Parts: sequence; C-alpha cells; structure tokens
Amino acid sequence: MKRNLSDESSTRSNSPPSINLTLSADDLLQMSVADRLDYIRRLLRSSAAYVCHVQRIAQARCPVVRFCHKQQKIFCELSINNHLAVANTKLIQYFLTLEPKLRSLLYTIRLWLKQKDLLGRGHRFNTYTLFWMIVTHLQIHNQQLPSVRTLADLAHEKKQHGPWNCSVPNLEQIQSKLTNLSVEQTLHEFFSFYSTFDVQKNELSPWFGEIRSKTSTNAIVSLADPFEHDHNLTANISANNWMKFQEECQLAKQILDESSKKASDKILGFSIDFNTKISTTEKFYSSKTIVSLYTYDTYSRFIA
Amino acid sequence: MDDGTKLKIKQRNHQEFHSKRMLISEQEFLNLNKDKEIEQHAQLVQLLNNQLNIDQQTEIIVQHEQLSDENSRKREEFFQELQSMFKKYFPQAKLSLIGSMANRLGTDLSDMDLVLVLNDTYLEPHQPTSSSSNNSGESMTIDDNSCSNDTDMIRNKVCV
Repeated sequence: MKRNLSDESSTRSNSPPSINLTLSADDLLQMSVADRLDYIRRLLRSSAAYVCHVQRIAQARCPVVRFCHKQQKIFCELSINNHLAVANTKLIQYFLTLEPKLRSLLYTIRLWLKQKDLLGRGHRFNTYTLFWMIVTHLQIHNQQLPSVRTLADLAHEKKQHGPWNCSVPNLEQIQSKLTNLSVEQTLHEFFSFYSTFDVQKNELSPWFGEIRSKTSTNAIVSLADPFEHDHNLTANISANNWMKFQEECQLAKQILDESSKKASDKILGFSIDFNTKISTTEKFYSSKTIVSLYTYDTYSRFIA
Repeated sequence: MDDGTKLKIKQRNHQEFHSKRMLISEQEFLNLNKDKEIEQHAQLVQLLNNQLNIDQQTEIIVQHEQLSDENSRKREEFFQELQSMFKKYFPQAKLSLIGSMANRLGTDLSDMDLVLVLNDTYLEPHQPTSSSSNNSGESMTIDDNSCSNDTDMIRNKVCV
C-alpha cells in the first residue's frame, strides 16, 4: 500500500479522483514528511489541471514536491514551512540591494563555471553556493560587505527559526548602496582568493564573514550556510572538481593579469577566457588561441 | 508458415518506419535547438568583443543570460495560479517564491522554487537516511524517488 502510494506511475492510475482534501495546516504538520508531501502531491494532481509530472522527493535534506507546468515546461519544487529558505531569500535580496554589482558577478562567474563543467547537479557548484562564495570573499577581502551576523544585529525585526537567528534588516534600512566596486577588480580578487584558498585548513562562514579553522573533516570544501551554521553548502563538491576549480581560477587570474598590463587587450581578456573550453577528456586547450565556436559542442552540453 | 513470416516482416517494417519518423523529427528538433544555441553563443561572443571593458562585458552577460520578459510573465502567471489553488485549501497559508527566481538571478532554465508557509512551526532539517552512494537499505520508509539525481541535487540546496 505504502509502496503503491510512493510509486508515481501506479498512483497515477490507481488514485481515486476524490480524496480527502479537508486537512488543516496543523493536521498536515503532524504527518510524517512522506505523508505530508503525498498529500500535497495528491492536492496538485486533483486540483491543478495545468500541472504534470508530480513527484515527491522525501529522501532529501529539503524534502520537496516536484512538478511541471504542462504547456510551459516550468519545473517547480515546493517545500513546506521552509522558513530558512524564505529568510535566505530575503537576505540575498538585501545583499543585492546593498551591492547591485553582485548580480553581474554572479551571472559572469556562473557562466564561466558552466563552461568549465563545474556547474550543476552532483559534485558541482550551484547558484546558491556560488552566491555565498562571492559574498564571503567580499566580506573577507577588506570587509567590502558586512557579515550576516552584523546584519542580524542591525535588524529591527528579529526572527528566530529553531536554533537559528534569521533576522534580516528591511531594505529601507540601507542608507547608501555600495557602488564603488569595480567588477573587473572583484573578479580578479575572487579568482585570486579561491585559487589559493587552503581547504584543508580553513572553512568559510558568511555568518561571521571570515575564514575560520576547519572543524569538519568529511568534506573537501567547507562553506557554512549563512543561517544554518552546521550545514555545509559545499559538502557535495568532489576533490577533483575543487582541484579543477582552483586551476581554472588560477588561469582566469592570469588572463586578467595579462590583459590589465596591456590596455588594448583588456577588452578581449575576458571573452577569450569565456571561450576556453576543456575537451571531454579533460585536456586543456590554450586559452589564448580559441576565440571562435571551435569547441562549441562542449559548451552546448551544459546548456542542454 | 510462409505467410506468417511475411506478416511478421510487414509488421516490423511498419514499426521501423514509425520509429524512424519519430527519430528524424527528434533529430530535427535537436538540430533546431543546437542552431539556436550556436547562434546565441556567437551573438554573445560578438557582443562581448564589442565592449570597451570587462565591467561592460559582465553587463552584457547579465542581459544575455537572465530570464526573458516573456518567460518571467509565464512564470508569474503560473505562480498566481498555484497561489489561488493553495489559498482554497489553506486560507491562512502563504505561497512564497524563493531562490534565484525570487531574486531575479535566474536563467530561462532555472527551476521555480516555492515554499508553502502554513504557519510559524519550525521543521527540523530532514536527515536523509540514505547517502547518495549505496546506503539505501532502509526498511520502514520506502520512498521511490524516480530520479536519484534529483535527490543529490536537492540535498545540499536550501534555495536558489
């Protein structure tokens, strides 16, 4: 019975059209994770005709119901009472308003990671991880951004979720935006910082806005979640990918170094780097020679 | 017996023809997409080369990669539909958009991440009983994830 419920295909054919949809919020929260997601799943199937591929993913750190819009092919993931994610979103919004150039940095480094096959599922980086890597670097480097702890102290409205202080100041509390940041310089510093960051000794903490001595021993890289300090955002990064990331950071830094020496090359410096591709056999191509769509195939794999 | 064999051959031919047709159209579809991607990538390189400095280049990257207006609108509509559906069953609840979509950090390929906030109750982070490698021999909580990759992906993801 239980297996039947969790097996997507059989549920689709067996589930009766009318289910008990009268549970209150409290009832729902009393249920086990799996049952709660099941309820939401059945709700979506019976009441949202425009939704398809509804499945629950209960065996995850953040359990979700995943579904898709039938026509538009928009994939959604829905979690329940995930207050930390809501607070996180507010925190990211605060940082983006405080320093609008974070957006450019994120899009740029993310595209670069994608082309190096270091972005996506499995043992690679994701957008969320990358955002906090960028922020933490700026917190550490001349304290160009405040620590999350400083912001939590600053917040008028205090929020506590479980053991975690998730207070975030309102956007109105931002008196002046930081706009003197040069994206080029920050990119250079980012690549420089991470190419030499010692993951064996140190870990990163956006909450404290500093490098701390490494306490966890299982993960290759340790970057604490800004609120949930005992959660390592980079626990999934493999040793190989971290090594590759550091090598690529080193290369990117060199390209930016060289281009800044010659003012005329400066324009091309970054686009050349974007066209650097690695073949499937992980062989390096010289970054200087490839400016065209030469290795486009490698690139397209990551888009698809 | 000869007749039977002939009949079989006919059937197979028919099936081959059918699947071939499907294959061709799928290939055409892929080629179309690939052409579009190559074109877009070429456009990006062209645009990047036309900029005067790296700061400008990164602006171009944002414009090129960010969610298109049309896709934003579609997602907004979808969100509204879901919101009114959940309101029907949980009048006190609030549907929140989180992650890259909420902070305009998404691309056309980004998922839409949502939280259904029922009340203030804090739910402990779920400790997955099985690791991504081999440890899935749990007895009481059988959960057939149709895609283990998904589990990998979400496990380390709070949002975005």
